[in-house]
Amino acid sequence: MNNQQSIQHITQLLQEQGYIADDSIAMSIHLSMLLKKPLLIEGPAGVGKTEIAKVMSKALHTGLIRLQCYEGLDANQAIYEWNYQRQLLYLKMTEQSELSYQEKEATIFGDDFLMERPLLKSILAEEAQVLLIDEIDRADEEFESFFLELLSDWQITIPEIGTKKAKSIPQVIITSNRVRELSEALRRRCLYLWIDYPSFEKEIEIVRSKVPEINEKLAIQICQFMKEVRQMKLEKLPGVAETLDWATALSAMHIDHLDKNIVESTLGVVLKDWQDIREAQMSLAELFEKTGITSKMG
Amino acid sequence: MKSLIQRQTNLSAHVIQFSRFLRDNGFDIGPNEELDVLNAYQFHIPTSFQEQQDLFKAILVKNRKQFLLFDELYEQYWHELSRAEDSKTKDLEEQKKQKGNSKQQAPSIQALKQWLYAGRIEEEKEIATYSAFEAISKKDFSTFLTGEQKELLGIIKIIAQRLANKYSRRYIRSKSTKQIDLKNTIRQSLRKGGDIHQFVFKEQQKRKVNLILICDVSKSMELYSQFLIEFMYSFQQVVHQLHSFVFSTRLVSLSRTLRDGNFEKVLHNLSEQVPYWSGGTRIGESLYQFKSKYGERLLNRDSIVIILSDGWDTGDLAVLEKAMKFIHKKSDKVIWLNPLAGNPNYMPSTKGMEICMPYIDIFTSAHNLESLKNVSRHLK
Repeated sequence: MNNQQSIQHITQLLQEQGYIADDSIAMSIHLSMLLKKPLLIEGPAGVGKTEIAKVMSKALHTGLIRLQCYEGLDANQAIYEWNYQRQLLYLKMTEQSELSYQEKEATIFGDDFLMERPLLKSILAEEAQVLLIDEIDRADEEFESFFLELLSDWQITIPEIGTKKAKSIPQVIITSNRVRELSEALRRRCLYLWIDYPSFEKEIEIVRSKVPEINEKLAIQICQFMKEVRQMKLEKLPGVAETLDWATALSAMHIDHLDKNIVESTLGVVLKDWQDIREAQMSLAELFEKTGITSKMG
Repeated sequence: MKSLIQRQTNLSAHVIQFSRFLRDNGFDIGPNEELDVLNAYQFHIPTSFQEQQDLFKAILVKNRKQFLLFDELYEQYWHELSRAEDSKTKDLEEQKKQKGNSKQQAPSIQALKQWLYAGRIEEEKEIATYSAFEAISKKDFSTFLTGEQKELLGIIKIIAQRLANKYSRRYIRSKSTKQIDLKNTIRQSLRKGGDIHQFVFKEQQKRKVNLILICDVSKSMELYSQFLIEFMYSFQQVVHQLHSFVFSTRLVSLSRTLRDGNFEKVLHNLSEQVPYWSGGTRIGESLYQFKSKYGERLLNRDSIVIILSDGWDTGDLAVLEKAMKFIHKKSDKVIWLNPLAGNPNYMPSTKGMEICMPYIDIFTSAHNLESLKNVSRHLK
């Protein structure tokens, strides 16, 4: 397979799984696999960052290991943890045995008592997995340092037993909504990809691919409407996820075109902030005019 | 910068040269990134110009700002490269021009002095403006930072501590015996056969607060100039993780300058860096400049932004609102210290102030030591 074919192959693989990727996305994924480097994806919420990892695992026929980050997430939940209860139970059960202290210690700090969390699990898998570290910006800044050893040397050091080297190198996808800036140390270890809201043409393609039963006119109207809504000064702009939710909902209701009543009654699917909804409701006439949607006003 | 771009014929030379060009434009690119590009070429030789651009972009870009800037720089690089075969005379001319525009210190120093000493007795003013460069270097530190300096530092320490008094959801080991850490207690007991001989205690970790200080040094703030400089300097001495900015019609970062332990040096450097003391006020434009240039990098949920200004704005109010909205949304807390608020009859009724109020978490006065003590009380 030549170079151009490999990029096209990735685009096609993603497309088969319902993900419409342009060449720059395909190139980043391709290089990330070639160089075995993590891919850091940033962009507004709902543009399909997480979806890339899910689709990749399907396309590559490998498992997806997901670590959802949140404030307060620590090494015990992300890397590994000793099964304390089991260790305690074992010690109580062997109290009367003739096993020496060293033997007991070697047993309770062995693999049987080690609970693998997502990061350790991903490197100990026999076959390379897709490791999704989702919304890393929600975790504390200190937490990023846990990744550094893993991402550069593909190993994890466990003080009690030593260093665990990767049996297979996972395909790492890290996503961030930019709630906070990530450290330079982490950025340097990754390839970077920024995904913005899609163009009108790309969004129609996504809607057609994900909601194949949708009426063509409705799909165009929805994408035009979303394009205009994203130009408004809103607290939370709707992403592709909202477009797809709206398209699916309207299609399920057998609606074939947008009008004022439909938009007003289903605006909650698109906008998730009450002030945004109010602002959009007040600008509906203007939005309709811009998108060229003929509305049944009043 | 452009002169660095010379015609190169092999790939590695191109990669190194292009990386250097990007570094000149603010990209953090090291040998690892250059090696990654060369490694990528071993596996994947681009078949088009666009594909090559995508390859470089995927490896050399590390954040959004760079992502948005890259395409333009890439084109510029190749454009410059094709022109580089011509003579280098233009670059030499540019260098000469730059030399011609070398330091013009005196007016800016005078402006700082004017701003610092305006409103005081005429004699002092004369000393301040006459041979300003000399005057500052000979000025006794103790006469500028008065006997109140220690007290000022003390109050700022209290303010900084109170601002830093935020807790994370993460726990760390503690000497205090308030909360038992059950998990680690059991873990430690395993070494002694599972019998608990000693408890391990934990406490919530304190969050590192990121402080940002933005001070107005326009004409209308002239009256509070001495206090303002002392305030900024002391704050920077107490809090190491502090980013300081001043503005009148545009914004200037002073963090590095204020970090100098020698106040004399600081004053000297201040005058060089900010050429427009006592100018007009464009809070909106200045804060918007902060938003665009530093906002994404500096503001996060651990950021506390302290703005010291009287709120008199002569700029575009829509821009001011947009900037304040962004700062408020991105940071943990916005504190506005207004020297005018010290007057009991003061109402924040200027248009600029009215627009800012919904985006301010703490609004209080700060024009002398007494009012600063009140600020620390507000932060309890």
